[in-house]
Amino acid sequence: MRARLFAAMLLMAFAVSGFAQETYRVDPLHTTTTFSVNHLGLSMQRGSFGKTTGTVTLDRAAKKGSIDVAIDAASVTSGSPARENLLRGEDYFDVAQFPTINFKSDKLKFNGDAVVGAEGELTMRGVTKPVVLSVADFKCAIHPATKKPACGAEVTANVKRSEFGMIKNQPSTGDDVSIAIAIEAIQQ
Amino acid sequence: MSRCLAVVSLTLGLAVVADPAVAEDVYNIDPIHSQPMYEIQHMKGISVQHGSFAKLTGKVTLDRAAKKGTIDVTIDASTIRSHDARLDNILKGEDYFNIAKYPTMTFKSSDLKFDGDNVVGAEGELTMIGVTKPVTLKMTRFTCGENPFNKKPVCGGEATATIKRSDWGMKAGLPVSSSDDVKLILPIEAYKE
Repeated sequence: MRARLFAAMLLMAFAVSGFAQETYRVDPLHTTTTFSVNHLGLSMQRGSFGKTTGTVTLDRAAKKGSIDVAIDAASVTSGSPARENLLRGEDYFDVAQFPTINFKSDKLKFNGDAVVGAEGELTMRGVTKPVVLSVADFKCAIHPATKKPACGAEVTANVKRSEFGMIKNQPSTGDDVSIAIAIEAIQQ
Repeated sequence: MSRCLAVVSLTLGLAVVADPAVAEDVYNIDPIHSQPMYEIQHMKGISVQHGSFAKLTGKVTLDRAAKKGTIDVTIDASTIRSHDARLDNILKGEDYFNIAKYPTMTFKSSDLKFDGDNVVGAEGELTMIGVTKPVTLKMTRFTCGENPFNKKPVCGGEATATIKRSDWGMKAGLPVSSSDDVKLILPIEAYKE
C-alpha cells in the first residue's frame, strides 16, 4: 500500500516536472459563447449558448497547448422563445440529432507567454471544418474566491454557416457568423 | 354615428395633410431584433462577461429634412439574463437592478446627431434604478430599407455607449467581481408606422 502510494507520488512528481503541462477546466458560469449575424443588412443580431464546458492545457515552456470544448447546442438563447425553437430545429442547429458543438485544437499560438490564437476544427451539425481562432486579452491570475490559478481571454472566430450545411433564410440572415467566447478556466 | 365617422375621417385627413409639413417619420421598434446587451469585466479584467435584456419597446422619430429626431425606449428590467439562474436572481435583487422597485429602465433623447441622412449618435438620458443621468449613444451601421418579406419600410443600426454603473448607485461587486465600466450594445430595427 505504502509502495503504491510512493509510486503514485513519484508519477505525479514526474508528470509535473517532466511535462510542465498545466490543465485548466473551463468555468461554465463565466464562459459564454455568443454569435452575431447580420439581419436584412440592417442590424447585427446576437445569440448565445449558456453552457460551454471543456479543458485547456498549456505548456508555457514548450509554447504548446490544446483546447477541447463542447457547447451544448440546446442551450442556445436569442431572447425570443419562438426564434429559439427555430434555432434548435433541424434547419439550424438540429439539436435532437447533434446535441453538441465541438471545437478541438492542439495547435495553440503563443506570443511570449500569452496565447494569441489557435488552429483547430469546429464540428457543428455533424460537419467538421478547420477554423482559426484569435485569442485576445489572455491573462492569468489567482482567482480571488478559489485561490487557484485561473486564466481568461476573449476568443473569436468567423465562419460561414453554409459550410456547415446551415443555409436556411439566406441571404436575409447573413452567411457570415462571428463567434465570440468569453472564457475563464481554472487550473486543476 | 356617421357624423362621428366624418369627424374621424376629417381628423385623419388633416393628419395626413399635416404630415408633409412636419416631415416626421415615426418608427416602432421591433422588440425581437432590438435586444440590448451589456459587457462587463470580471475579476479585474480576466474576462468580459455578457448579459442581455430580452424585452425592449419604444419609438424613434426621424425628421430627415430638419436633421432632428427622438428616441424613447423602455427596457423591462426583469428580462435580464446572464445564463446562470443564480446570478440572474442576484442581478434582479436590490443590490443591482432592484426590479421589484424599478421594473423598467428608460432611455430618452430628443437630440439625435446626423451625418447627412444617417443617424450617428444621440444625446439623452438613461434612467436606471430610479436615477437619471446623461448618456451619449454612438450609432453605427445606420441603414434604412424595405423588409423583403412584409415590404414595410424599416431602419436599423447599432447603438453603443459605455457608462459607469456607480453613477447610478449600482456599486455591488466593485471592483473585483465586476467592473464599474459597462458597455451597452443595442442592435436596433424599427418599422415605419
